[in-house]
Amino acid sequence: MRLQDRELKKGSAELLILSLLEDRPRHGYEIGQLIELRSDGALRFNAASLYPLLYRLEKRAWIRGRWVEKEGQRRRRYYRLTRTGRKVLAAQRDSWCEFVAAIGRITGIEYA
Amino acid sequence: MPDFKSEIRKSIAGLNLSPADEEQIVEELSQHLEERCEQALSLGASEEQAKQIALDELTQPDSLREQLKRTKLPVQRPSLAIGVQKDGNRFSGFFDDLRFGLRMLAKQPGFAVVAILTLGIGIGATTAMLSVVQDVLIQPLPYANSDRLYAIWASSESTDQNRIAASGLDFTRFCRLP
Repeated sequence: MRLQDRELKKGSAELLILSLLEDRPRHGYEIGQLIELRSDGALRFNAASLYPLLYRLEKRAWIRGRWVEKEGQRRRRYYRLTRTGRKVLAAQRDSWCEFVAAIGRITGIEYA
Repeated sequence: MPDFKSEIRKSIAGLNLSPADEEQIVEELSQHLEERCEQALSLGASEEQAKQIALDELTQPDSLREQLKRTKLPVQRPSLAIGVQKDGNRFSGFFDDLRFGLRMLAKQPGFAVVAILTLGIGIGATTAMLSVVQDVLIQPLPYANSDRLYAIWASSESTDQNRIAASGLDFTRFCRLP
């Protein structure tokens, strides 16, 4: 299933990225791949959407990007969640749960 | 591997990005496109198809140019060569240089130990030597009118000896001499 509603995808993009950075820093390509993989291909961000979004989150100081050089590998820009980002993630998770619950109550959709 | 950097530069031309921002965006996105291209090749796409799949990342469904236009970029720290001053301030690159130095030392612990020992021994020896010079040659003696102190030696014609240590009694006798 591929979500056609771009607005819905846009609304959840920040939450998705912040969630993926919760455990450890990741680079842009890895973030894109994980979103596609974990959503079974339903969600996909191309580079043109993903990186400007990362830069916006970085500008808000929710995430921080840093070039990392590892021996034998090309240098990559890793993004990690900041303390502010962690608070925003918790708040966005709560809002998302409330939103989904509200939609569920109206539409009668129930989740297992 | 196709040259994606020029394609990315073309797609963000005219956005008035700072050279540092442009350089980092081009590097980061070209890595992404290269990996996308490699992935497509590994899944059986031809080189031409793989290149197109990667380039579509810049335009489908959103264009990079339009997205970046709406994005305020975070302040990018430009890559600096060692020793180059960031903003003309003499000490602005001090912490960058310090961090770089520590990273280099951590990479080669053997060299770091030799360098630290060499510096330690060198500084220790110099300090000890200068302490002696200071006390013996530079600092005045702890007596009043120390510049008027004289050393008195005796000599003996019979034994043909010079610089015989003079006693207090000798000194009293010398004082009585006409």
